[in-house]
Amino acid sequence: MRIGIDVGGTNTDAVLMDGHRVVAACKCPTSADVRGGIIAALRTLLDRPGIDRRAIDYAVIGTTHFTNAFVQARDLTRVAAIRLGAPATLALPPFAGWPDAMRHAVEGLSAIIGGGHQFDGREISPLDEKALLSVADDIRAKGLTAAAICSVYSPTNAELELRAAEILGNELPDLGISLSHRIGRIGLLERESATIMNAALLDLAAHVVASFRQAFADLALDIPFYVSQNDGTILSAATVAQTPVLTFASGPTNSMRGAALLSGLSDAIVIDIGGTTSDIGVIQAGYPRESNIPVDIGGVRTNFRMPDTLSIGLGGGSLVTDDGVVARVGPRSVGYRLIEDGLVFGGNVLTATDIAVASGLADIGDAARVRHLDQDMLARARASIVRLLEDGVDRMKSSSNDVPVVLVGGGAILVEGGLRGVSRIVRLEHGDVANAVGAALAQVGGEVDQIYVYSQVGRDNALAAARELALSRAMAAGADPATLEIVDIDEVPIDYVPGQAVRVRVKAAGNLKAGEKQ
Amino acid sequence: MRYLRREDIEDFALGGGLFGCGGGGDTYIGKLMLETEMQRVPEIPLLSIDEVPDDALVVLTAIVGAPSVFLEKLPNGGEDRRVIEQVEKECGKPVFGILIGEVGGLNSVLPAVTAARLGLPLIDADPTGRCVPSVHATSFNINHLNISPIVIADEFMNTVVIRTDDHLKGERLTRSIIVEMGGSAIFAFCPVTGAELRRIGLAGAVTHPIQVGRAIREAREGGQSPFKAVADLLTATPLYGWADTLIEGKITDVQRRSDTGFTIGSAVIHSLGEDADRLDLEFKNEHLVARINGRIRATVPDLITVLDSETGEHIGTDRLRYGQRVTVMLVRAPAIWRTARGLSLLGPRGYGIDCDYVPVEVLNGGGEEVRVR
Repeated sequence: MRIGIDVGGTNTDAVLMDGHRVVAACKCPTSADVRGGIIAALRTLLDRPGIDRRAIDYAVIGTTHFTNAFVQARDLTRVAAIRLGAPATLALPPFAGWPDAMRHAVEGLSAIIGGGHQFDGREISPLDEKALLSVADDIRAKGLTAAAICSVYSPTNAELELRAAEILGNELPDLGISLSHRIGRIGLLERESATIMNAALLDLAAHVVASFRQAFADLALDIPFYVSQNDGTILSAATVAQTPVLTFASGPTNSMRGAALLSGLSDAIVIDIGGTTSDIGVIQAGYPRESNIPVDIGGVRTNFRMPDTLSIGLGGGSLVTDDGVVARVGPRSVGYRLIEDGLVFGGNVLTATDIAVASGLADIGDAARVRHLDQDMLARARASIVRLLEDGVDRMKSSSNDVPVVLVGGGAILVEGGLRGVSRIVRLEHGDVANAVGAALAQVGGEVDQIYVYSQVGRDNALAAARELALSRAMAAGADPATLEIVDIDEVPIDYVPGQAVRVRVKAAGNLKAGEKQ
Repeated sequence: MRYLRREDIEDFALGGGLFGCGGGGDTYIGKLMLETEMQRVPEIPLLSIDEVPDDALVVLTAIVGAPSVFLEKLPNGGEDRRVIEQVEKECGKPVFGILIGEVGGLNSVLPAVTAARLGLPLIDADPTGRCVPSVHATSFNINHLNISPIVIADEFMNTVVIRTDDHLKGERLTRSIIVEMGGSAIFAFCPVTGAELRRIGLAGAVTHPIQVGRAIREAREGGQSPFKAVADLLTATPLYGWADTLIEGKITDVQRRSDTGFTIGSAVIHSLGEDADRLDLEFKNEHLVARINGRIRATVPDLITVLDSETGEHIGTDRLRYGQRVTVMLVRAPAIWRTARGLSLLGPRGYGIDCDYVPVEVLNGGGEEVRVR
């Protein structure tokens, strides 16, 4: 059995899972020190009768803690940003495009020195070790504790970043160092920014991981624990202390994965209907479909592996207006004030929840307060809700075939029957703790993102090599070879260059080897 | 004299997308470089074609190579200065101003960076009037101007000068050199005098994107659909003279493959509602042909461009995806592309489309019909 924990801004949820079955679930308030909330949630779970602690193999934690810290620029350390690539790339320094306030909070120093690779594997320049030593002097003089190193084309050749880290580490043994090839994909500025963000979070990550550890120790729960990352696979506690930034999008990912796993579907659309919005995502082969579009976090452009979600303005608190012809639902919402402002709660604002209660879809609040509503208006409002969802589902589908939809979130009551373009609607018993379930069932992954010149190596050889590399990376991360599979292959041709250079991305994932302790 | 100002950058980049016709690359890096440069130089003198003296030398700068490499290996930032200095040496006279490389995408923004850096005026003109896939598809070639010198520089300031009489040869030599230079480089070619420019330059390569960008932004701010405003605006320009929305709908299929360094593929778009029309697009980096229900409604060299229905932003052929709500606009190509020589460089037959070119305004005005074989 395994435990899944979701440390959110408001609640800390915990679930105990036996395979894909939820054995026990609970919600506790998140505590300021993180640890207290986890302990409270785990205690509630473990104190249930009939729970055998010895049958628990491991725990996985999902958290939005690091995202929130960065966006609010709190608990960040200043970073020495070192780019290897001169004389290329001098046109735009590190931190280019960052909002001023964020830059002031994070920039310790910036340097661009000799190093880097070309797209075809040749070095741009040898690593400028002399310049690096002089940067080390600056770091010492400024008393900086974290550095981010980003070399051009390091996702295809990490050698220079590793060498630079070794040199800096020898000079400054206490320096926290983040390397870009462990963090991002091709796209220099975005990868570099993510690496800088990561370095800025290193101190906080050390604290948070320590408090995770302490929580398990306080409970005398001697099991390994992991942290879930953006793409629905896991990181070891030691790795997350080094790469906290890889958890930035784990919240939506876990919710979608959890919903898919509870429903038993590996290909589906997941709709999480909250108070203000419905977030619609796509699960392909058990994993969220990733976004192609760069994502801004705290105003900084990144190229993280983020799930591709569509947010539409429909939730339980959405305002409803009717002109006798069309009833509009959302995008404005009373949000968390629903339980004061909604008609069924004694307020005087007509919301989507009131429509659901008046239509007999849900039994919330005081149904007598919406009995007077006009039946034709209710029908129009329900039609608008259905139209919004159908439209959203249609936008997110990857083909015109009908797809199953998994409904989670408190707003799931808004939906009564079927939706056009949807083969069936699945509702979940434990939909309110889908995040924790997604964390518990996270897998171990390995990814390759590399450019191959097909005219030289041949497409089949290139894809075979990339597959092999992804599988071996997943196994190195602890995946059980028996469950390992390739979950994604993506080929992007590089235009305007002869020779069929193609950027190949392959991802492998499998279950964690059961009972394996770190 | 007019100026390109900092507050124009957003509109300039947004509106430029329309002329990308699916190609042109991501403008984000270019926009950042321009913003950085314009913190130092808040306004760049912007000259119309008529303001360039007869014997003054003007030349374009542009990135050549793979836009996706450019996103990883950023330039040094000194390549354009190096290139311009070499052009001056080759031509034996100073460069007076910088032309836009091609309107649309990355190469409409980068020349403005060069102009700011070198303290030269930017000329409101380009040699293409739309994005094109190769160095030899220009009005320079159509008008038999000598392409030489082609000057290419990499981040080490390694500089290659190509001299040839043949534009196609120039294209091929350039391609082989940029591979050696690491997949992308900065170049200039075909310097011209003010007198030559007035003969062949396509005016408005800065003004048109800014106007289009502003129209999109203002329509969006006012909660209006931007496409009618854009069509009216371009129809009123002497260079284009005709523009219209072809279809508003949803992408229902995309197929893409890589071949000889190009993104080649097709997309299907269905209009919304009952009795939906089906639009088929074929592309090779840029869009080549648009068919509605099997009937051709536009081919190269006329501009076929796919924009996000909500934001009006250009969606490149590498980013098209099932389910996107898009509006496809057609714009009449500048007259030079409709000459026999223009069509030999950028006409449908050159791309293996088995039909003669019929002007987009004829195809969409209830005029003659082109049957697809």
